Amino acid sequence: MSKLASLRNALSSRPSHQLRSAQVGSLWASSHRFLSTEAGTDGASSGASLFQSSPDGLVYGRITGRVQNMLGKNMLKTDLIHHLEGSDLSFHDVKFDYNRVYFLTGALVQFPSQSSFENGHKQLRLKGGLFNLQKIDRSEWDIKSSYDGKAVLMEGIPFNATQDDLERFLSGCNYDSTSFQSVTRTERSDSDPIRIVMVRFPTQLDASHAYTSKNRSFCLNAPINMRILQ
Amino acid sequence: MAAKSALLRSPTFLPKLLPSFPLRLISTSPPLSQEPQLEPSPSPPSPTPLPPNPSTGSPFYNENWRSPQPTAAAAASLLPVPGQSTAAGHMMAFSQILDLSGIMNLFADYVASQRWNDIKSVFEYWVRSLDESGKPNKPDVNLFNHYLRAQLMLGADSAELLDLVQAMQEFAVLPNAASYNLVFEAMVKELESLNNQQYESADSQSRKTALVEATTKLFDKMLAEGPLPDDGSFNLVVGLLIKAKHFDPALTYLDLVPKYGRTLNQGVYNGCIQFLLNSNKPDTATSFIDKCKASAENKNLVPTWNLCHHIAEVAFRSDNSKLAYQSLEYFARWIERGEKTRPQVQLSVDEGLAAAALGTASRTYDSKLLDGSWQILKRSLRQKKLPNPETYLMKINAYASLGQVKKAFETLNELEMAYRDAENTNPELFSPFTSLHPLVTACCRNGFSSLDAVYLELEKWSQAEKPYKSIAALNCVLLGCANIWDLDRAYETFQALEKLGVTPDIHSYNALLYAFGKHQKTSEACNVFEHLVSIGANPNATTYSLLVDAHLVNRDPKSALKVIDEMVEAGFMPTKQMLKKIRRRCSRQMDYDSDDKVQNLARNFNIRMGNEVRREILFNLQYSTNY
Repeated sequence: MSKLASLRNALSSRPSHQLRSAQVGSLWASSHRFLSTEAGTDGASSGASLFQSSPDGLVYGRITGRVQNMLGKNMLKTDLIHHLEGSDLSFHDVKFDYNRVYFLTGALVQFPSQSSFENGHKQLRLKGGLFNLQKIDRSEWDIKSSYDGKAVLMEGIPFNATQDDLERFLSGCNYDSTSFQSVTRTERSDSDPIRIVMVRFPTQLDASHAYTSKNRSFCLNAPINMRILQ
Repeated sequence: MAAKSALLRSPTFLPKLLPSFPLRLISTSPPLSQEPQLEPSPSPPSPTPLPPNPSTGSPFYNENWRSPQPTAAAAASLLPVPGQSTAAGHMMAFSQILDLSGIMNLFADYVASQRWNDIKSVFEYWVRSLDESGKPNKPDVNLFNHYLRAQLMLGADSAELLDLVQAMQEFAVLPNAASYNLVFEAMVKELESLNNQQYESADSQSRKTALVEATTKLFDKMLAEGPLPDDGSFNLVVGLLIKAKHFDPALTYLDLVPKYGRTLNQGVYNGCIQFLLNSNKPDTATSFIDKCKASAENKNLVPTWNLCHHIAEVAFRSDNSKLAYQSLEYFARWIERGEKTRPQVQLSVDEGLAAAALGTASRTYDSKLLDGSWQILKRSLRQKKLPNPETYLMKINAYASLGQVKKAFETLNELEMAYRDAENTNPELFSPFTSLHPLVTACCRNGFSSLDAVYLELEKWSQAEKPYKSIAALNCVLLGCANIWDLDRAYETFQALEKLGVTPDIHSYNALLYAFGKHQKTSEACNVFEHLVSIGANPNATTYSLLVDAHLVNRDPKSALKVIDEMVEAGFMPTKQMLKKIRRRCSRQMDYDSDDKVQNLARNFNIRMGNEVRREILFNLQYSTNY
């Protein structure tokens, strides 16, 4: 119980959820042990079987960067899939994990089988060992939602910009006008806070069209940097 | 005068004393008047001075050096009296009989085993002892450097080391760059310990500035008169200045690096680039990188992988195409390096980064950056995967903004070949209204002449051996004609579609509808709409919005609203722009019923319409003749 709980706490950032699922998991593990007739089943194998308990054999992993714990700012889902080539992943098998100020902290990956997970390990080593791959539980995967390339982050919006100004900035683009979300972020070295606004689009193509045409154009005299959130 | 009279008088005395001598004056000239002055005491003739003390090479010549025991008079020299360490006692006795090369070997051993105390005491003892010719031992510069190194390791600070370096001159030994390097090392160590302190006090700040000043002064002295600084000196000094965050002197010294032909080490190179980026000077970073590349010694320096990413990010954020290109070059070098090592490491650049580079190239009109980013993308993908359609679109955008229309169409060709028949392709991918809009603008840049040129080129391509028949490309031409209000050309192009063997798609019909609508030929526009419906093509959201626009140009909000009703029935949602346009037309024509309908629609679809205050400003200008 403690081993599983400590593992989960180390990996995730949502302690309340994990505690609940850890307790459930531990009950399952203990009952499994009691029910098994083999005398030599130790905790390790029951832990492994717990991870693979999802019915369709899917294995979940989390990829983090080795340096500064961050992945590249410009990484796309397809880039990650390309890194893990041979693991038979599709676009929907990857979810990017952003923190509150939209830094990319990691990626959750759904592998179709254990062998593709091993292959993922091998590929990451081949590609220079820049990333770490850890196994996680399915619950983490289910909780996380993905932007799917349909959201764009606008950085550097002036603080006195209203929604009208933002809509004027994005004129000509097909966006979802109810979806503006604003966040303030402080850069690490100089403590000048900047305002960040996230906006969603109906399709991925709309988002990339907005990025192509509007990146570094001006909103109230300030040039705005844009990023597509995967 | 008195003397004269005295003299004249005196002979009167003389005859009384001396009985027989007649006094006769000898000189015929009058006697010289002599002022009574104190005559300077004649100095005894000074003997020629002796030649100076011929023995040089040791300050101990000034003292009693013939006795091998260290005396208190050794305080005259700056070298401290060696302490009496029992273990080194026999060493000292041993060293007494060694000569210079022997001592060098001994010290080499000591350095290898890091016996700094021994080096120190043996050295101090040795210089006081006599060599085989009976003169005090004279160290040379390397030996002295060993001694300095020992002092440094034992914790002497920079001031003490500097004093010792000056003491070298008493030994008539010229310090070389290595000696000063040891002083710099002491300074660096001190700065690091100051930096590592928990909190900054005013003391440590002032000490830091004092350190920096001392370093710069010493380095300037070295440049001006002393031994020329070598690689180590440059690296240490620049590293120290960077750590102390004094960037301007660091920059001046960096400029000198290529001049003196010195090589920077990897850590200092990384540190320089890092601080140039952090202090918001991308142009300085660019010039620094250029200078390093130009110098033969430094051109193989490459920053770390993460630092390359940082350089790229700063370049994209500040739209600095040169810096972006330099970062791409670094990435290329890393990839090559990775492929040469065994086991092979396949590094790759993120496609997102290449796409951002393409965006910067289109904004800064830099075709070198465009080519470079595409190359590195291809290299990273290693033919295992095609680039994303969005990346192709960014490349088209870049070529279009540079005005290279032909290359843009070639890229469109590649995109079509890759993604036209793929599943999950968004049909809007080839729409000239949104995705290919930059290409349309590029086509009609010079009006009808460029449009004609493009059309003829496309015609030629469609009749080449490998025919390139692209409806998307022709749609761009069609929309271009519509954009320049050239209805005749647009219609002709539309009819030529069949001739060229392509079938019009929904985008072609949209473009034609747009052309008619703009010229207020509303009935023809509606005919186009009915035609396409009757053929079986499905109208898309653009079709409906163009139709609404056509009616509004005709000043007919009621028909526009009818179109919106049809649209809603077909499952599309009216957009805010559409409703605002209709509302504007209604308010201009004071058509209140239609206006009510518009408001209902806005409420139903939850569209926040906003007001028209900014547009009304133009109508609410207050003209007055007052000045």
